[in-house]
Amino acid sequence: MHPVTQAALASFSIDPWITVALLVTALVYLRGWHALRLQMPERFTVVRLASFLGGLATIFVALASPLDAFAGLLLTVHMIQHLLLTMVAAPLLLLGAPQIPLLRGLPARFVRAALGPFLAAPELRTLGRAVSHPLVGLLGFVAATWLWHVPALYELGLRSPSWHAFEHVCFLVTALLFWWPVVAPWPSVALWPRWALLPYLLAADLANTALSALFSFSETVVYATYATAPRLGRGSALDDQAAAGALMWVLGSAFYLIPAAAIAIKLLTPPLFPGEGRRPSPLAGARPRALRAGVRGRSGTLDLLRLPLLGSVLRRPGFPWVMRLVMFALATLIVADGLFGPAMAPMNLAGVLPWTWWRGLLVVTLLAAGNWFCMACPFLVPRELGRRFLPAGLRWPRALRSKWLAIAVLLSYLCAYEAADLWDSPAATAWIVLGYFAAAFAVDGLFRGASFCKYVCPIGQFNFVTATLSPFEVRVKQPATCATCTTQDCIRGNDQRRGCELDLYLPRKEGNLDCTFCLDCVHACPHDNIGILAVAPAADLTRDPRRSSLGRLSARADVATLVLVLVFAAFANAAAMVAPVVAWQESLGTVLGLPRGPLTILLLLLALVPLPVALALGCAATGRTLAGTHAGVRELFCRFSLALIPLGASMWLAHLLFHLATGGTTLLPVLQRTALGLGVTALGAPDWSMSAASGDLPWLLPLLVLVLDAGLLLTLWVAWRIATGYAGRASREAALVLPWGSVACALYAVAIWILLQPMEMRGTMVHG
Amino acid sequence: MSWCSSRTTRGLVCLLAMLVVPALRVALAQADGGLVRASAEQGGLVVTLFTTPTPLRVGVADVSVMVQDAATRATLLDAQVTVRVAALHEDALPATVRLSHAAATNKLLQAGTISLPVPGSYRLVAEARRGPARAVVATELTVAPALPPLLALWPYLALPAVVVGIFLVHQWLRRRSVGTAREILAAAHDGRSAR
Repeated sequence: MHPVTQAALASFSIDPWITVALLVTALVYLRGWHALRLQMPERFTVVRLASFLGGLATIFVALASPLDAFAGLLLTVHMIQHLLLTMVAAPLLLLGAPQIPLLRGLPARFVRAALGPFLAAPELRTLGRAVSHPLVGLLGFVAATWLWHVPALYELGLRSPSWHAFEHVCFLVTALLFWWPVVAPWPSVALWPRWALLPYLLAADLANTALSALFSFSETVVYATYATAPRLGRGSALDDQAAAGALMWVLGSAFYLIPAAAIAIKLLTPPLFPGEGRRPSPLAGARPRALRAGVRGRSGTLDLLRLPLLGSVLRRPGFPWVMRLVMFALATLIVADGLFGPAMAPMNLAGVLPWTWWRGLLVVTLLAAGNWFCMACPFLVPRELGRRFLPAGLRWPRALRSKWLAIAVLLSYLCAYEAADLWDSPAATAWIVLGYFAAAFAVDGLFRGASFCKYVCPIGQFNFVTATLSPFEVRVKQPATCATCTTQDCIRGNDQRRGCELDLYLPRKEGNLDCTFCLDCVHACPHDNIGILAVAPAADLTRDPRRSSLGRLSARADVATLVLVLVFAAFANAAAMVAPVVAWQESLGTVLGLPRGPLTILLLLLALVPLPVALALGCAATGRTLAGTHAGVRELFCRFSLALIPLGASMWLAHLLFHLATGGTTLLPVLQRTALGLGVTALGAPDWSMSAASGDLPWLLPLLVLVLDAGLLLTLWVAWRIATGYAGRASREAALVLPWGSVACALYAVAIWILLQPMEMRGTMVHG
Repeated sequence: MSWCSSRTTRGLVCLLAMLVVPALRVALAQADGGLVRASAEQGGLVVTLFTTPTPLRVGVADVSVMVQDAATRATLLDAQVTVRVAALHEDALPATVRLSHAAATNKLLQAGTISLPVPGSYRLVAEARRGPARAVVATELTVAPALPPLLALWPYLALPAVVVGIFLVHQWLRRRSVGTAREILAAAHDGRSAR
């Protein structure tokens, strides 16, 4: 192939969002089509499937293939792109009769709860009938075609990608409405008789012919862009315009006249058998057995332990320990490099691995898959050693069986991080890890169970709280099996395996709080009745059952305070690295005559405990008064504080993703240096240019804002769900949610402000 | 067996991954083409210079160049193209960027990004070399101030408000339908009592 042709054909401009949207649509349709085919095989044929998928493929070709890349250079190519969208993609999509398969393909609960009220609303049904009226379809399609070919609007589309995308949306939507009466996708009801479609199609053809004649016979180039664009080949811009007009004329007319002819032939052909042509019953060709089988097949929740490859790996009893040993080896490397390696954080494993990589991956994993980092915790190794060398027989003091001690440790850690710039000090990082080793060794060497994880570990508390948003949970598969179980190995353990050391009795375990995903219960259960099951993220926060080992969260002020500390720490931690806050802190230190370290600790403590607790108590009291509910302020404080978890987690994620994206490449030269130090030359010499912060990443800020959007929306949803449990009327629910929603919106605004400020590039080097 | 675990789904998930991964990779190529800024024919070469976005604003802009044979108008893929950009109102040294086909979406063009740190006028010079042939095309760019960040991010910032709005309508519709159902039940109950 000629290199120029090869280069032209390689000019794909694939938009990931469009690609994902098309593929998800295909997946949903296929799922619905498959279910409907079991019931109505004669209506949902393979041809229908091929039509719909062909329509999606045509959209992909129009928007992602070289057609898009050359649309700005040649009007002919741009015309083909638009014809594909309006004349090919739209009718093909409708031939797939997409309404019911798309609805059926979505989760039934989502359709019922989320879409149901809209689908049943009389106003929206009226609107649907109005826009699917043939007159609206015809006028809308012709108007869109003509308007978008007005030079000013066409040029706008050529110059602005956003307007170009909007133009394509206009074309596709109006084309779908235009072809709707012609294709009449099942189960729509025709508003006009079939013969009326003949003048309908001819009118559209007339409008198309008039427009294409303008292009074909114009003696000037209509669009300035094509007049100045470089000519590809011998033809002039005017030739290109005439060719585009001819294409629109000939192909357009064919697309209108062929269906018109088909309709005319069908109308003029007498039926061979009486009754032919009648509208078939919706259940034509239904197969009762298949129908029943389809309904039965809808049950079942995704269990990670049952996945083909991953499940068999996860089920192996030794798997958690392999992960722990790998993480322990990494922690050992971090300690060694932190103590004996370079003092500059971006050159040291202790500066890059924990603060840039581990934290970012931790939050992503918690939100996407669950508390896997606790399962692979390296501190379980010294903990096991402690149990071997120390008695490990004491019971954890009753007075400390809460989260208060963990909150104190967490505050100490957060203060140390900011005041001592842990992120910038590999040696201090190494000492923190060593301190962790010693604490895990001592606590679990002296006390029974997993006291360190449950009552002391600040990272564990972060993981427990954030994992409440995870889509996976270690839980019982069939509660009926537990009801007949007499051994309760999941908590007591047996000769082979330990039971849950965090005192979570699986039949009464709710959510991911205090669960380390250690899988001890999974391996101990003799009935194989525990899995890692898919759950609705954050749904656990909206309920208040009596939880094993935790009781009701509405009575746990310590858990609510822990949540508030973690949520506000997300904002404080990010704010501490933006220039205006750093400057303000310096000026405040000058005014108060306080050195930076003590001032940082003082401000952090104020921002993490009194401020959030006072705010939350105020919200609870205000909501109680406004809603006139009988629930106590303490109970409302405990319940609604949990609603802030999604916003806090989204702030942590946005902040840590920023570091991962801008400083992630720093790991490579650090690994190269470490490998050289260990005598491994395969990775080559360190390329320190990689340790500079990544420059312009135009996608990063929108992504981070989207993350915060998700956090805010989930917070508002959780608050509303909690409120529905206290108030039966909408006005009371709104009154309960209002103060918490206001705080959430204020925190969101703070988060956006932080993201828009110049940030310290922690964990990276500045190259001069 | 549930449909979710069928081979079809697994196949589709694989297809999804196969399509999305290259999509992400291709998406890393910068946008190119855009507004034709200048075109010149020299030394047997035709050089056309494009910039995007339109209008140019403070920040990063894409520059792309098409090099053609002056006689045949055939696109030349093996030309070496560099662009120099310098602010006219400052004594700053011009920044030079080597363009490449890899950075372009339209592979007949060569593309790269330039930094426009302050608003004002800039001079952009593109130079194409192919063997002994050399062509230079220059233009002046007017760079507008950057959009305020909140304005640039408005679709993302408006998203929560839109979702909350839809949710409120959803709740209103749901409660209204429940209310209607209750009224119907109450009317039916009253009718039975009357009988």
